[in-house]
Amino acid sequence: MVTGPLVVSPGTKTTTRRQRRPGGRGWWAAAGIVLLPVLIPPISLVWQVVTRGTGTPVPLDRLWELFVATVALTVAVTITALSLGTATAWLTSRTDVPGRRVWMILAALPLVMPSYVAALTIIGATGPTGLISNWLGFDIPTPYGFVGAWLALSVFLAPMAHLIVTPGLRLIDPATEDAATGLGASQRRVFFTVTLPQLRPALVSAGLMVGLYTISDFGAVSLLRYDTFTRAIFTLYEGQIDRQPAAALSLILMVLALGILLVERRTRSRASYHTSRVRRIRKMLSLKKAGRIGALAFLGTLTTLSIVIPVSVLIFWLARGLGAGQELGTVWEETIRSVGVSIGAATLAAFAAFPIAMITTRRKGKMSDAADTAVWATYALPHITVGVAVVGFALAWARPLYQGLGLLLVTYVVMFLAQTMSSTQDSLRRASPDLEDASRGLGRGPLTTLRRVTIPLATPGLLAGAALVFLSVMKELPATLLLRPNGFETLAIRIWSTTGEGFYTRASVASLALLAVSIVPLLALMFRDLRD
Amino acid sequence: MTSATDQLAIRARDLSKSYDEDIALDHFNLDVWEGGLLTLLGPSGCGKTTALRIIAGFEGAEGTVDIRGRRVLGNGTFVPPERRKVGMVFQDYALFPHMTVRANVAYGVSRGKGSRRIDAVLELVGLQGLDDRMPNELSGGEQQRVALARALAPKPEVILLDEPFSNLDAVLRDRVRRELRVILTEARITAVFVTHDQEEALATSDIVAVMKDGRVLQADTPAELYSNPANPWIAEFLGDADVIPATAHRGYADTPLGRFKTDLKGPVLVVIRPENVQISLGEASNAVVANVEFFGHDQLVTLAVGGGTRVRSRIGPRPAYTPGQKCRARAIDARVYPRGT
Repeated sequence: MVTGPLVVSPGTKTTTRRQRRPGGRGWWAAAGIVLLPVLIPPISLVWQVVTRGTGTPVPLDRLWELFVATVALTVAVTITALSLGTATAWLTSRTDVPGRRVWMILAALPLVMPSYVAALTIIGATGPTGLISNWLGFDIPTPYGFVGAWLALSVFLAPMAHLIVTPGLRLIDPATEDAATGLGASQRRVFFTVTLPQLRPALVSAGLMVGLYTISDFGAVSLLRYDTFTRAIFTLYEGQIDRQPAAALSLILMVLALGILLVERRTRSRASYHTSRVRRIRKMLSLKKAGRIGALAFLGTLTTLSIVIPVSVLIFWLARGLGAGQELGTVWEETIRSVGVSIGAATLAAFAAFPIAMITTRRKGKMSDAADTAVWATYALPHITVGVAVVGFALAWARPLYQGLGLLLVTYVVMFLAQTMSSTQDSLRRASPDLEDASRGLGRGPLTTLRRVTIPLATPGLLAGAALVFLSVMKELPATLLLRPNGFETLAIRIWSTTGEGFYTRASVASLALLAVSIVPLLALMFRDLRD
Repeated sequence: MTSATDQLAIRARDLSKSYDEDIALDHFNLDVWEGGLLTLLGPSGCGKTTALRIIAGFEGAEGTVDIRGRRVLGNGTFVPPERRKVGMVFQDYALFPHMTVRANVAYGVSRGKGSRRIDAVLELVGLQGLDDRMPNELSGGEQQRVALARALAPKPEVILLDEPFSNLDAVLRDRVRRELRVILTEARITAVFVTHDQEEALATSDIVAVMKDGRVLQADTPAELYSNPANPWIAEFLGDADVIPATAHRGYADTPLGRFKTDLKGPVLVVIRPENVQISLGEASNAVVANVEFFGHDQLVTLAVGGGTRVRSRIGPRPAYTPGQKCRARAIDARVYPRGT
């Protein structure tokens, strides 16, 4: 696996082990029940468009415009975030840059920052009343449009690349690099000809996750007024009684996302990388003075952009609002709601992931591979399309569920199930099925074996996965906008609506609350990983 | 059932199993007598581990398995592993990583009669004082003994050991092997080993069952098996042997190393073990020394005996031979097999 613990991406396939003893129908039944809602979003969307048509069609030149804008942003952000993330991962895990471990954590930390908060802080830092404009004494124009969206998403998705590339670097056998050095290659040549090619699986994985996230992003592009598919879908959805054009656009976007997933899977299945099991001591590259200064300047600038400025801006707005005697508005209720649905979804996701992880690791076959792919495919869907699909499904088939809390929770679980599934699969793969056989051989039945062996061994994965789902649900915006019960304000919704109306002080209170809550599980996950 | 089969700890009949296209077991038959130590010996991929797993109940198969006269597999019966009273020691030990040594050993013992039995087993395998260690804090040899203690603790009727020494280094392996033999004898328990190491099998077992391609070819005591292998493949698999093609007529097969009695007629294969080839100097020579490997306690001399045939001789360290030397070679014992296709 080349995935980091904080970011999940479809892992490499493991070979089928032995065929198992008869039985196990219970797991299949449970997995089937979980898979039904997982399949609802894509099926519902196709069904809506096929049976009801596209409504007032979106003009073709507009479609082309959206397509170009979306693809351009995705390509630009993927390249930038991948370069930044690879650089931070390499510097913090391969060199003796001062404060290595602190930088390693700082580089990952912005992961808790939702893209719309990133956008909010860019808006808050620039323009006539912006923080940086104030500092510098002259007006920096707010980078609305492509530049702003590109900057916001690149800086805040680099941590994702960092977290996937770091373990990828760990998997490379140091002997291959030593061998190249021994053959007289320079450090630079070693990096580009030996390290980087071996990093390919991790880079492909990271590229997939960053790319999917970018085409799915709604918050940043909306607040920074850059027209992509997601923004257009929301505008169509909000502005019109006829929801068919929104569904049609969602279908196009869904196909685009699944296309990226497919390309990634193709690339991966051809590549085969061998990692040595021998544990060798890795020597850290010792930086010369110029290199050290350069590295520190790079890490410092990135941290300033991704942490210092955003947090300063939020505090600045808060202080300014307080000073001006503005109505702050408390966010207690919103915080409790956000934490509540996040915990609820995380718990449900852990329960839902377990049977699927069991069939995909313990009873592998074509059927369980298909289940695995279905979960990843739904994870790859842009959230706004999931929202549109689920609304359509509820209105047509499950009216009483529409705008209900239950439907919102199930939608969260479906969207983020891949996170708990893959971390649980990791834990289960690490625990040999022989352990379960050993328990049975010692006279314990299947239920006792499950309780005393399988579940305890899967628990780290279940908890890590639940923490990831918690973080994702805290940040989730577009599906929440479409599916929330009337008057159900979460922190994300509060930030969205107050920013839209220009109440930056209120937005900053909610943003700070969101960051404060999210940082707890993130730090827990990161320290767990550092201990390993 | 007859009284003879009542004394069988394990009786497997016609076990067949395949994965997709691969045949793992092909009409596998095995009898394991009560109280003995039997080794399933075969090259990797011959199905020996599959056979163990089917006996333990971790996998189903066609055919039947009886444990102490009780049907556990076949004719619509499938007794789940937890009710077979079979202990298993896994190749990678499969110790529960989240439990202490003591908790691992106690896992299969019902709570009531717990701690004295556990103390006894830990003492038997010599692990007193390590109760509170976690498996990852133990050496390979210690882990192996925990796995053995854990399997013995619930007093199983038979114990199965899958390549129990393969994860140990060579020096440790010999010691652990002897210790294990003593422990199993003390526990008076029927044991089935699986290994691909023929020396290990010959040195440890009461009975060795040689497997190839999913079936048992021959099962016998180590000495009998070594000196009377059922075919040339088994002879070569169990130790050094040279196979010389020859033709038999009138009750004899003639080779450059002598003539051997046989009931066969026509083309045959004569199998000669190096320790049965004697060399002498001075007489009418029939061989030339081609190569000498000196081991200290003995030496292995490769001889060219005409017609391009090479035969090895294992003899004492003296006298010293040198390549090119002419000598007389004679085989004092050999087995003759029909030569098929």
